[in-house]
Amino acid sequence: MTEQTIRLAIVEDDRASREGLRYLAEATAGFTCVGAWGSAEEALRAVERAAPDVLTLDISLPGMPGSEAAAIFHERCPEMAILMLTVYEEEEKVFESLCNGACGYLVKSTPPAELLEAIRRARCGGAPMSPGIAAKVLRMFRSLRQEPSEHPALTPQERRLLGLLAEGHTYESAGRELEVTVNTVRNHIRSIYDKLHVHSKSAAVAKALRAGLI
Amino acid sequence: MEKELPIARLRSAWAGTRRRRGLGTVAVPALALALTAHAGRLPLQRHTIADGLPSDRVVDVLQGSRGYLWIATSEGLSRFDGYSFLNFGQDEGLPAIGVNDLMETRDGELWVATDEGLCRLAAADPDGARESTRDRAGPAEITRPHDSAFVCFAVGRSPASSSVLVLHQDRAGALWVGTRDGLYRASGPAGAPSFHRVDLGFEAPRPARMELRDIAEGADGTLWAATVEGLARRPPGGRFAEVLFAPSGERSGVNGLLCDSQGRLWIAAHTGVSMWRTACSGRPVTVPAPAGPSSPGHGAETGPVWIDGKGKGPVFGFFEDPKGKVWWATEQGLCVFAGPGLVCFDDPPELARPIHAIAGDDAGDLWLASEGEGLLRLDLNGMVSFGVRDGLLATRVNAIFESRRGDLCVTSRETVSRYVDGRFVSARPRLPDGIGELSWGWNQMIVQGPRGRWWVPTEGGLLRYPTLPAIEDLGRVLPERVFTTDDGLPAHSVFRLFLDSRGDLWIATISPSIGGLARWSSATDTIERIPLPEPYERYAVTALAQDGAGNLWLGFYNGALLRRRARDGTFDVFGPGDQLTAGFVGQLYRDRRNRLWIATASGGVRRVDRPAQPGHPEAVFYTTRQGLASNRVHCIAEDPAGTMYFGTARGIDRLDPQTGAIDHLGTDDGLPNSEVLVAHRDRKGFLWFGTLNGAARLDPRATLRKPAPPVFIQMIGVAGARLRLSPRGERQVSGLRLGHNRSSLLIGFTGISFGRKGSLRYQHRLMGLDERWGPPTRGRTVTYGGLAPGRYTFEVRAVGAAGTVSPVPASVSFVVLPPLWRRWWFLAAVASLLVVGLVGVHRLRASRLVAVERVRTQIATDLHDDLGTALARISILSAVAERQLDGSGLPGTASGTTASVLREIGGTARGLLDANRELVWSLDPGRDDLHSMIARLRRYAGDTLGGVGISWEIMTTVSQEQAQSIHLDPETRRNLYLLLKEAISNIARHSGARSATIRIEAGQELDVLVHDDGTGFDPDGGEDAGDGLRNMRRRARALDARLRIETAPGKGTRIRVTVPRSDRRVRKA
Repeated sequence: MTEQTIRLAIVEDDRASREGLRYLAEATAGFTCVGAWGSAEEALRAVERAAPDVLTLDISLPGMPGSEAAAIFHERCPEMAILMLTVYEEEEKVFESLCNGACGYLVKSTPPAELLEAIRRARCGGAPMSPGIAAKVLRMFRSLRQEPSEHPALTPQERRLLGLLAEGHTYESAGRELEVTVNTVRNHIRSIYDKLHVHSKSAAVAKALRAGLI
Repeated sequence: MEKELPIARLRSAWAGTRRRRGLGTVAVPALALALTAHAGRLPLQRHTIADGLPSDRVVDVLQGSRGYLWIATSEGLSRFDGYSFLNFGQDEGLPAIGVNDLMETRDGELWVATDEGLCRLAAADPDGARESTRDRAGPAEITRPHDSAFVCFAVGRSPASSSVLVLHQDRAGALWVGTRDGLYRASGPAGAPSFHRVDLGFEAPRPARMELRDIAEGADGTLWAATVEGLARRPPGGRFAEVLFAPSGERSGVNGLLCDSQGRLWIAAHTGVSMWRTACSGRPVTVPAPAGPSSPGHGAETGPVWIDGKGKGPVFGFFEDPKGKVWWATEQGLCVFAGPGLVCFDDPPELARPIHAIAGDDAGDLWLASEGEGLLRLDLNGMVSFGVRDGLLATRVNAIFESRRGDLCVTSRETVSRYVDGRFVSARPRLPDGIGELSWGWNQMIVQGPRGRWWVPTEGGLLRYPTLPAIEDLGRVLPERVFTTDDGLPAHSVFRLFLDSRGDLWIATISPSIGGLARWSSATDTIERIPLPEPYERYAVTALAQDGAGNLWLGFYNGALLRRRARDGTFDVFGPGDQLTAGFVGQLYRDRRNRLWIATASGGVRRVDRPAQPGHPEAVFYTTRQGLASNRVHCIAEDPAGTMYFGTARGIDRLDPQTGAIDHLGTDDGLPNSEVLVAHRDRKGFLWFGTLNGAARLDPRATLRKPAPPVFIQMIGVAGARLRLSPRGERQVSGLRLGHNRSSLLIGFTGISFGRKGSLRYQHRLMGLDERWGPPTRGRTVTYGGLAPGRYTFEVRAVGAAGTVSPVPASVSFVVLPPLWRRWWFLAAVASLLVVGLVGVHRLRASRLVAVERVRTQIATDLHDDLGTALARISILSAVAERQLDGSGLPGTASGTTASVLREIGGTARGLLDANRELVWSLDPGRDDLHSMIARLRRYAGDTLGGVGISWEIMTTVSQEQAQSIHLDPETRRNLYLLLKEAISNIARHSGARSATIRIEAGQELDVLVHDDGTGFDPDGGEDAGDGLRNMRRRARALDARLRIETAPGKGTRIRVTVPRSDRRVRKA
């Protein structure tokens, strides 16, 4: 993790929450808020100019839903880390967002301080993966395996990790099971996401998505 | 000289014979030898006005292609089906009162020639509608009333030319119409023909009137036209030209013409009949030079030959029967030209009256249009009957047999007769003094022995005459010997005689006290009495026969049957009371397969297949139940084909032993009387029957077993009203719709059978009610009433002799409509109304429900979203506020009461949010399995316990698949999860433990154990613990689960929850 100041952008339709987050980010060392928008459309107009490092994207937005917007953001700013913010951890939408390019997700019931910390750690891998989402990812890769593709597949360790996550393990307890550190786990997750993103651009993924994997 | 056959003399000979009739010997002149075998009387039936014929003056007859007989009379057209007449007169649309000629075209159209035009019988559509007789009136059409049965046309311009006398359709299909004023040819469509006059080519002096009388067509299409003025001929494709055919060379009017199958043209001229051998054959015809009348041999090959002379009365027409004989319809009655000469009928008298036309039907009968006797039918294949006029002196026939020489002999009580060339020669046997009468027995009477000697039974003994060639010689010669009781006869009155295979004569006698049996031995010339077992001596023997093994069978008056074994003369006794007999035995007959047939007086006929077999023989029964007309059977005969004939009191029953089919012959078929006493087959194969009133002869080959005729629907009545049907006969009627309460249906049908009506029966069935054919009955109508609504088809077929049935049944299809309130459309309307109503009501309710639900959902969703957002907002804002209090450090680290209050606020909000999330999760039906709950628990444990550094482990013996297949209902899931969550959070908050284990097992019950190695707590003490415990207990109660808490200070805590498995709570998928 770099010690640089993280340039944060927020897409959140609830005004009070949005302004609150912005204030907190600005008040926390290591963060600067480069943009706070109330809808995906608004954000898309401004995001490239703002050039944030991390974008928190509310999953439920008026207009274009966050999961869809994630794809466009990822396309426009491939280097930007997209974190979905969700109240209820809706697995379908989260998974869709992940496939569209999001790095992870955070639940809003996380205390704001932890939220910011998680954002710092985010960079794909920091976010916990709910069992359901882990299971989905696993299934997705399994189905891809059947298709001939040049895209990378999961390593056995990654698959095992996903399996553990699907059973509800946290990164910590999963690390214990795998006898690796939490950092290794996070690296694995990052790698998994990368592969997911790569795949998510391919037609096979689109097809698998459409075929009702989700 | 005219070449003339001696018809006149023949006639006078016949007349002469009649006049000189009397008792005593009658000799028939030798001239009779020239006769062909049409002596005797063929069955003749007569139909008159009394039977329904419109008039007794019948002008023409024709059998239509469908089988109906069409009759032209002076009072209109009539159709005969064998039972009744359907008449068409002026009321039915006939333009004139009488019909002159009839013709059926090859298409089956019936054309009728009247004095007021040419008419065609209008066809009827299958459902009974009539062809329109109005709209397309062509130039020639006569307008008829709308419901006329005919479409009529005027032919020429003059009224006389519409007086149509003769019709002909040539082989090309053209219609020729002969009228009182010329010959016309029709062209154009059948619906609207036009007529063109055809010149007959008569040279000068042209006759004033061209009245056509007849038209004939030769093998090559040459047309001959007979007119009142003369004869004309038209070669194929050519024009008519007059032909002078009379020997005198003058014109001679012609009444009738016939082209026969040998190519001969018969010309019935006013002056007599000529026969022109080759005129119809297609060979070139040379018209003879008008020379004088030809003598035999002259011009015989090239010109017409006169057959009859003047004064015999005009000949009206000719007819050729299927055998090639040409019949003449003459003013003097019916004649037939066969072979050498002409034979005319004078008996019965109807046949000697003027006959205008002759036609044949497909049964081989001859139909005669008589001028005053109505419609006559002569059954050419019927039985020829013989009576007194044929030389049989007395007509109560008591025996028929053949002499040694092969003469057919017929005897009665007083006379004997011999059949010679169509007549009988009769005599009375000369009896010696002392013998008064011949025997009163019957059937097995006079016998001619092997040496030609005649044995005659009498009341006073047995007479033996010397060798005589013919039976009538018995009238000349006295017997050479008389056998009486002195010679060994058991009694004087000889009842039966039977010559056995050894030439011995068996004699059965009869007297009031005894019967008795004796045998004359040819070796010894003596009579020996044969004793019968008691009590059979007392009964008279009524029938004797020998079976194939030579055993003698005796039938008795009391019905007993005895078999005398040839081997040893012992007797087997059967009955009476035995099944073999019933009533006295009329005859015992051995057929060509050596089966024994027994005719009984009250039990029909029995057949014994193996009479020579020892033991009790088995019999096959033929009674009225099998189809016999009567169970009183007098005699039995067999024809060369093996068909059996039983003479009964009600005619003859004819049995085919192979099929068991029985048909009947009666007086309609030529039997002179219904009581048939004796039967015999002669060596020529003819069957002779003796009745109470004469004898009859049947040629079994002539009576063909024809297939059952087609059946036509004659009449349909619906609730009393008659439907119109086509006069040509309907085979299939459909489309009837009967109302529910007017559904009585009367159907009349008939199969066309003239004559053999006795053997025609019908079977019918009603499809839709019962698929089976009913039993054969004679009835020709059937009524249905009160049928349930539905579709029905009535089918009927004729059952002929030998069980043959009509190939295609006639049918009537109809529908009985249900009452209005049961009609389909009514029901459908009501049903659809109901459905619409119900749907409407349902929709209303559903939409209301949906509306309510939608509102509820809307509320829930809004609440859900708003709550989540709001709580998140509170969480953030409280952190903001806290920050603003203390701007340093990370959020959440400010100090002070306010800060901590704010933190509490945020925490509460987040807690609510979490709880909400849990709620959402717990309600998710996709996550109702145990595996999901374990995963969730693991997550929670990881967050909670891992967050405070307690090492934890969740273990389960349940495999993932198993866990995924165990489903928990929402309440259970929630309660259990929250219970376990409480336990875990207690551990995290209060236990101070280092490690915690959660073990989950799913066997008979769902068992969860939460164990920590912490400090434990006092179950009864402390508020927090109390609250938490209370909650847990509450949840456990809600789960119906057992909750065991083992804890003690310092000892750690074990919490065990056991949830019973039940379908409601925990079920396996």
